[in-house]
Amino acid sequence: MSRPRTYGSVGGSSVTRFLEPRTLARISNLDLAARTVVEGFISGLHKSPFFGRSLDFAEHRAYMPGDDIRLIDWRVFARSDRFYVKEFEADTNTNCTIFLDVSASMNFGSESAISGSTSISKLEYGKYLAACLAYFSHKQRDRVGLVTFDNSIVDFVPPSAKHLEEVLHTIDRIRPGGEGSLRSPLQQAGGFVKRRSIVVLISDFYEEPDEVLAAASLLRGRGNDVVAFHLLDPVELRFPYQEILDLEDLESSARISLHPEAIRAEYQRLIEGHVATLSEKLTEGGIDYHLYDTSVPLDFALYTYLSTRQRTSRLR
Amino acid sequence: MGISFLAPLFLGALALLAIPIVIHLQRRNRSRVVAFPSLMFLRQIEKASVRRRRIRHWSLLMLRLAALLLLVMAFARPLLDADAPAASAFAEGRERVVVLDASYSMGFDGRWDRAKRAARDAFADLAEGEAGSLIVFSDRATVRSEATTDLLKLDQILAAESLSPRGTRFAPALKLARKLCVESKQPRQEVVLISDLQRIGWDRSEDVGLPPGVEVSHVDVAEGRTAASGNFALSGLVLERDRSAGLERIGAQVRVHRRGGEGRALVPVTLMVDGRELQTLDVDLSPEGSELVAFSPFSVPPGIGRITLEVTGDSLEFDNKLFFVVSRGQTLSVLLVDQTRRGSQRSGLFVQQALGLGQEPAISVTRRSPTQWARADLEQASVVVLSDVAVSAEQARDLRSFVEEGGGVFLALGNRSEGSVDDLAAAGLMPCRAPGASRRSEGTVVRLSYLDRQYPGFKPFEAPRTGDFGTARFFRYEQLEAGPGDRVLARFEEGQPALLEREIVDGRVFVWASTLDTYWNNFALQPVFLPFVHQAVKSLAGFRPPAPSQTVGEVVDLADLLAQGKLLELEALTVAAPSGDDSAAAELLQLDEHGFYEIGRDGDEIAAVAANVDPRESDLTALDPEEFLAALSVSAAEGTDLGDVEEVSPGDRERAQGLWRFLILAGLFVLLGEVLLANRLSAFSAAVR
Repeated sequence: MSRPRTYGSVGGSSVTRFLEPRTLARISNLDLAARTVVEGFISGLHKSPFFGRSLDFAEHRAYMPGDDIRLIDWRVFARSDRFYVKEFEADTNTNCTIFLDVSASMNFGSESAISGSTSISKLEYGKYLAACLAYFSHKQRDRVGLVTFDNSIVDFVPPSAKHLEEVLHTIDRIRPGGEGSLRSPLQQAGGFVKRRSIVVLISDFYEEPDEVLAAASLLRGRGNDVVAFHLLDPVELRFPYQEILDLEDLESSARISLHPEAIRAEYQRLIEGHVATLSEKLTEGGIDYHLYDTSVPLDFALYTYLSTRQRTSRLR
Repeated sequence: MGISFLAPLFLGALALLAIPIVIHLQRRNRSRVVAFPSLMFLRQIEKASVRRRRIRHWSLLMLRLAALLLLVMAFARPLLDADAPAASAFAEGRERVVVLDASYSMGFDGRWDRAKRAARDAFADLAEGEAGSLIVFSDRATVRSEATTDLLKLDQILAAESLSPRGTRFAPALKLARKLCVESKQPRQEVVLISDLQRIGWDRSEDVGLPPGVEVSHVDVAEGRTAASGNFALSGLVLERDRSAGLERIGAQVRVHRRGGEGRALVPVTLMVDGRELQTLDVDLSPEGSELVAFSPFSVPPGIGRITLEVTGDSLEFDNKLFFVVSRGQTLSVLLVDQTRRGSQRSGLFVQQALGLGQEPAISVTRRSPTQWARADLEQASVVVLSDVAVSAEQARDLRSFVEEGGGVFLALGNRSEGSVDDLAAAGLMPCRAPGASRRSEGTVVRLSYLDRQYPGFKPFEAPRTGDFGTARFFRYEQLEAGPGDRVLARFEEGQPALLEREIVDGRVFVWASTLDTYWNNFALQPVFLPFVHQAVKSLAGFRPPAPSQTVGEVVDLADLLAQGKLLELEALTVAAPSGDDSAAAELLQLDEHGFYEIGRDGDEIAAVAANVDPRESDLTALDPEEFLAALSVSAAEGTDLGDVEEVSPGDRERAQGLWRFLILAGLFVLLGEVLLANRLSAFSAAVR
């Protein structure tokens, strides 16, 4: 297991040498990648909302002298005339369900757009982010679940303390989907979130801010804590193209011819406005909003996020 | 001062001027396609992209266009014409040169009538003050009328025109048209080519280009039409003489072609002798097919036989008839002098047998012993063969006289002739024996290693596998030394001459260094012996097979023709053309018509010449008009023969054509300016960004 090493100081504080997204992409084992990122962080996502034991049954075990007799399963004794005690999964705190947008627009990597070389896309970044969060939650003894969607639900792993590997496996085999939309899949998935949960929504939010808020609000029911991670490629933010080109929409395949220099300023104004509006409206709606630039090292992004969250931590 | 261009086709490259603009406007289609997550925001500002379709740097574009313009003009080679007024498309006055094809293929399917009508229309279309010229051509061209505004005269000339039995050649006609254009006093010239554009008429190595600025048009009289019957034609006549039982018969074979047409056709082919039908054979022909027709042998008529082969069934009559002349075959008289060797074998046996097999021509052999032959025998003979015999000094002198009068002598040396060698050498019939030379000793075998196959008489042996002289073995031979003027036609392996030729006045002598029987060699037993003897005798006799027919356009040497039969001098001879026109005979007879030319004196026919049309003209395959007209439009200013056109000094020509250098220089300067300006604008744009 590799630990992030001390690199220098940023803003006067000691920080770790952060892992580049492309470095992570070279680690084929998602579990290892998540651990590589997460190990070393101290604070968690939340404080535990419950006091008590885990409710997740694991297996039966033959009674041994010294075991608490309260754990004896009397029903089994009645059927088999033998003493068995019930064993439970490790104690858990809360549910953590990760909603990951796998629509075609997420399959965009800036370097591939400019130089033609393969680089990490928003989807890859989102996958690492989801894996890290899943791993992190698991370390906190939370139940981890996963929902992937484009304009409908693609994969669903119900939250469970035993589902980390399944979650990671599901994340690992994610393939880019078709056109994306938030409202329909989130409306469906709202039914799956039956307990109070932490809901993580990872997407590029290419919809009107009101629409995004309406969709995300569907997850706010039952007092869920919703965290929205907005992933954007640096190219989407800065639009650095020089020569005249045809841009093809990854989802609809529609094309548009542009002179980038002529529209860059206007584009930047619009995307910045979009981000600002999203941030404002989601925050007002009680949703944590975080914008991630996919060129920023993932652990740095997590570190920043967790630091912020720790400062503004709330008891759910 | 006017400006014209030596390579006006390059002006077509002016279309390149559109390229920078088209690139600018069309770049959208060639721009790079880049995937982008969503066009959500870009759609709102799409209108801004229109800006790129507007030209941003007019100065840069103008510089680029100017550079292209200058380079194109330079490649078009502008020519300053200081004397003549500039030929402008808007100038008044024009000369229209009508080039009318009168080759015999124009007789097919009404083409000639259409051609004359088109020529009349071309002249009738001239405005007042405009001039017309008429050139009529087949394989040669004639200016029927130079520039004239008298349309009535042109019409009369056209009415008198008729088809020629000749083939098609465009080059002479177009050279004449070029000359008329160059000499024209009108500011504009136009050439109207009225032809069926036969492919055989254009040899691409010939220059057919017209001067720059001359408009060229073509009236297609074929109009892509072909008659259902197609065109039938006869060619490839082969005559075979057969002499048997005292009769001489001729078998004729001819190939019948059918060009074009639809479906199969059964056509009769008729053989006529002196105008009387002898045989008719029906031939079944498919379109583009041909068949060989063999007529039964017929007896050669006495005197001159005029034979006509005719196929019927199409509208082009010129190539439907094939004429040829036959006469009873010549017979070569050979006097063979030989002697009997030990064992009763004659030294001339093999030669006599070989000569007796001759058919073309027939060879009549008269055999004499060395003591029997006399001067009277020489008068009847064309060639004398002395096969290893001794001759006296007097006989040698008689032979010398015989050769001087045009006779031929073949001397084959051997044992018996050894004593006569000095006499023959003294008479000048053979070279002197080399001093101290001795006969080849027995027991050593040599072969022939060289034969002069370029010698006209031995041409038949030129091709591979046409005679292996190396198989013959020679046990003895006389050592000869070629004298001055002697030609060595064959050599032995050791380099000694085997056959010498000596020309004496009008005749010639062959000296063969060995025997012509099996006494000193086995040459007489080899397959090549017979053709060798035949060729040697024909060479000595100066025999040339008479041509049964000639092609229209050829020239016949009448003196040579009549000398074949040793007939008469040319005085008082008349020649009757196929059309019936009589004229006095000249030494050379130009064959302008197809049919029989009859040569006679005082009403007696002496000889006849058959003239046939060129069979290549029967192939009516047409050229691609666009390709041909493009070739006409190519400038002919360089390396062309303009006939009587006034010569321009090289210096003046160079000065008049040297404008392109300045244009190239100017173009380069403009390009340099473009580079500087583009760099500056680019740097400025980068700074702004």
